Amino acid sequence: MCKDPRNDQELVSEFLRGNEDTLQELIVRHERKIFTSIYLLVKDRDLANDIFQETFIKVIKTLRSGNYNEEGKFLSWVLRISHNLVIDHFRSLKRMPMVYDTDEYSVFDTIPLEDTNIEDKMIAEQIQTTVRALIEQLPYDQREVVIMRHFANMSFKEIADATGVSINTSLGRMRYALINLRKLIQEKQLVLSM
Amino acid sequence: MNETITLNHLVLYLYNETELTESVMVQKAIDQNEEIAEEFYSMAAARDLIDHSLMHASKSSINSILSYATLTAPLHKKAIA
Repeated sequence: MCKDPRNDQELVSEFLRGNEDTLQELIVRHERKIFTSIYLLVKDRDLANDIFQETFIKVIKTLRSGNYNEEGKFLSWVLRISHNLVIDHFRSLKRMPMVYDTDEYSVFDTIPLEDTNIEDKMIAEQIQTTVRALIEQLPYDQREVVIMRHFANMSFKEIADATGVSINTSLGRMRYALINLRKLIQEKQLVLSM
Repeated sequence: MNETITLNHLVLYLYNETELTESVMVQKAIDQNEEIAEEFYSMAAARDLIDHSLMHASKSSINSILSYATLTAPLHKKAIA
């Protein structure tokens, strides 16, 4: 499938002019980062799908109401919406998941792989599943920074502002996240090479 | 750790968020200090793995969103007309 050459802002403008197809392109373009970031916070696939849908319903309503003014930062904006919905969800349960709580995980859909070799494909899928499981084991504040930096492409300054902490705290959380991931890999004696 | 290089500098450099002069300083520290190099490459390996963890939303979720957009489109078109 050919990649649509239009940038996010152009697609948004087209959508607002009534071209519904551009919404599909925006979703296809960003759904993996958005869905994964939700999933890694709530750690439940059905719930993540519910919040993913809720996020885009809110996106559609906000776009159509004319209140979107995040030129060039569509993905970051959508991720902020999804993140707020995740927080709302935990508030409704009256708890925030500050520590990881389970070592079980399911097998999820994985990204389409270009490898034609079946063995390579299986190894890559196994690595994806394993890495996700490792990220899920990180404490909430570290997972949050990982998601914002890797999937929302936010700078550490932006993350610090968004989470209400200093930039040094954001950097420290990321460093601990990376160290903890390495530690988990070593503890489980995993061989992860792509 | 080097006098002028902090662990936070390493993280910023890892994610390409250092200024040019800082980048030169950090890279020099990595080249000259085994402890710093080990820390940096260990973090780099973990960082690279994270990007391989992406997963898909369900097709039914995506279809529901697209259906919602289509069903509510006439109202929007009426509003902007």
